[in-house]
Amino acid sequence: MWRYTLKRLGMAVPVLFGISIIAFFSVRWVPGDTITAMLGAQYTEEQAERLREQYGLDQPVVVQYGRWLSQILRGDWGTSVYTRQPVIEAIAERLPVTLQLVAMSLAMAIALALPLGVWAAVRRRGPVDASVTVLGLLGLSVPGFWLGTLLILGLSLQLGWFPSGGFIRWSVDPWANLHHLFLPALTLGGAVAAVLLRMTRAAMLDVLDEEYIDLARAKGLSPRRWIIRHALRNALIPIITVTGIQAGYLLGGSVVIEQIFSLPGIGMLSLQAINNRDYLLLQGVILFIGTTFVVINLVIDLIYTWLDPRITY
Amino acid sequence: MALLTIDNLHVRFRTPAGLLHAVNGVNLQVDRGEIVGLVGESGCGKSVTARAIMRLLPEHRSAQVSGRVVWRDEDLLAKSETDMVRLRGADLAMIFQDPLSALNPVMRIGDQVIEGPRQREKLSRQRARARAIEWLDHVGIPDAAARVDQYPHTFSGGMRQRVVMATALSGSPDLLIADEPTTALDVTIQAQLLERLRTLQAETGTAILFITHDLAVVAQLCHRVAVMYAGRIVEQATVAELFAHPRHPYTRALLNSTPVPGQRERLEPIPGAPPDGLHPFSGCPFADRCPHAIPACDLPPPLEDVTSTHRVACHRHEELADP
Ligand SMILES: Nc1ncnc2c1ncn2[C@@H]1O[C@H](COP(=O)(O)OP(=O)(O)OP(=O)(O)O)[C@@H](O)[C@H]1O
Ligand SMILES: [Mg+2]
Repeated sequence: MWRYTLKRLGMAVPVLFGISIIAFFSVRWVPGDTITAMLGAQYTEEQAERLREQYGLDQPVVVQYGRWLSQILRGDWGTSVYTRQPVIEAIAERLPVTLQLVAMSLAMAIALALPLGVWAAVRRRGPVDASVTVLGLLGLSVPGFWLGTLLILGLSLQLGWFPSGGFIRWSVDPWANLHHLFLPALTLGGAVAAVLLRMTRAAMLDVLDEEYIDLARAKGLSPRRWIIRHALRNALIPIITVTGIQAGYLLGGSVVIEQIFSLPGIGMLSLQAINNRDYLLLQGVILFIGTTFVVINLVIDLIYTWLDPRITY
Repeated sequence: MALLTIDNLHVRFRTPAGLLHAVNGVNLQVDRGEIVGLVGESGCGKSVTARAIMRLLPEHRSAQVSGRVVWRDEDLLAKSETDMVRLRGADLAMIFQDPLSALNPVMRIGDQVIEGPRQREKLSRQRARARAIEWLDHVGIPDAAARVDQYPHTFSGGMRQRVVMATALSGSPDLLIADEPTTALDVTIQAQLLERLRTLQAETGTAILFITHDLAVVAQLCHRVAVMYAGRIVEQATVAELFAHPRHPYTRALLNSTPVPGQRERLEPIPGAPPDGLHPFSGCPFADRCPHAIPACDLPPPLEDVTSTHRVACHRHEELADP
């Protein structure tokens, strides 16, 4: 198990290297550069040249990349030319918002999808199953930004139940913190809930046809026992895979949702970084998100080995 | 004394192709402590009958079950699911055909063996584990104490079927329904398993309804046998009577198509195919494959007594009897 974990971490190195290349070069495709964005509309070419020289932006890109990489390898993510804030500090400042948003969306999606999906499968072709199918399709076809706008219009502007945006730290006021994040998490989690719902139902239907379910029932197990310990326990294996993929999707989706609900998270940070052509910051953010993906994948693989004794590494 | 009495059991399935008549008026009795064989070709309704007894058919979906399944004095078909949960495992148990998919792949076998009793009696972890080891030992798992914590994928098919047997027997049921438990195994393993089942049956006195399409297995294991065709019992008798004096043309055909060890007679497969259940008919279901069919076979043959222990449903059984 530990050897496998180490091996997987080793395999992550080339992946992260690839991500660093993509991060570095993709930000340079955006027209304009840090210096012109920083200087605004009125500047002379000389001013710009001087600044480029100062920040090493006049060097060939490959040299710049090499510098950045060696910096990163030494644990130094650099300092934003634009805001003069260390990149790592900027990420650390915004990360809790995004993490909480993603975690809440995921938790809400799971809390909704798992029981409903299980129920629909156990009562297959009944009224619950039919409603779940419709709900799942609906959740998949409604775009997040539209659902978010609708929720803001209805639940916050019209009814005043929830704030329409903004963020309050948990440490400042836990209740207000949850209150502010509820609608964004619902919006972000909606589509994921739909995907998980369909996956849970499908996985459960597969498992319910297995003979060990009949045997479990023939043993006289209570419905709760055979549904949870035998059916769901086996269905979880494919469900976890999809959940992992969805967690990645949530990270990407949060960029839009943070914008709609004015949440100061990683998504908003990256949009700012794009606007400012803040190369170092943007590279840092992309590399960070890539690393998170790699970690999520690793965690899911480790959960597998724990869920399924047939898998040995 | 009758432990289980099946009285005019009908099972129909709603299918896209129409209403499928899978079981058409089965009457069958199992007494305390006896082993009854239920034989018949694939698709004749053996498994459906067994599941109907256990109330494991998709009744809220596609299955329509009618008739009576009397367990002691009570009709199982009238029971709620909660009542059935109480009866399953402790009174009636069932094991299935495919040993490879009958065990939960992600649960330790010891837990699976003792799960039923553990739900009913409050057993401590150690007691439960010890009981699981005992049962694994009983069914002939070598080195049971070491294997109790392993997962099913580390067991061979024959060993898995033994684990399944332990799972069913650990609840000390009065009736075990065994639905072709040895069909998927090779002959030697099958013989060992049957031997073990016979020993355990003698020790525990559990009655067994043993479903198979293999008459040789019936001869080896059962006391009585019922022959099923197209969802009906066409003949039933003690094993000795049935093998010596089969009356129903279908039973004879079945016997002729079964290899008997030591005999090198040519086997005669039964021509034609059984009715598909989608087109109900009123007469003898075997008539259009039967070499002895006469116009009277368009009427349903009643199940008549030949002797007090031998009954057959054929219009011509007396004429066709061996001299
Ligand atoms: N859940 C179901 N829905 C619809 N039809 C079914 C269902 N279960 C069984 N049947 C049908 O009922 C008939 C009897 O099936 P059954 O499984 O009892 O046969 P069997 O005698 O056990 O055969 P085998 O020896 O192959 O196991 C078959 O035509 C089968 O297709
Ligand atoms: Mg069957």
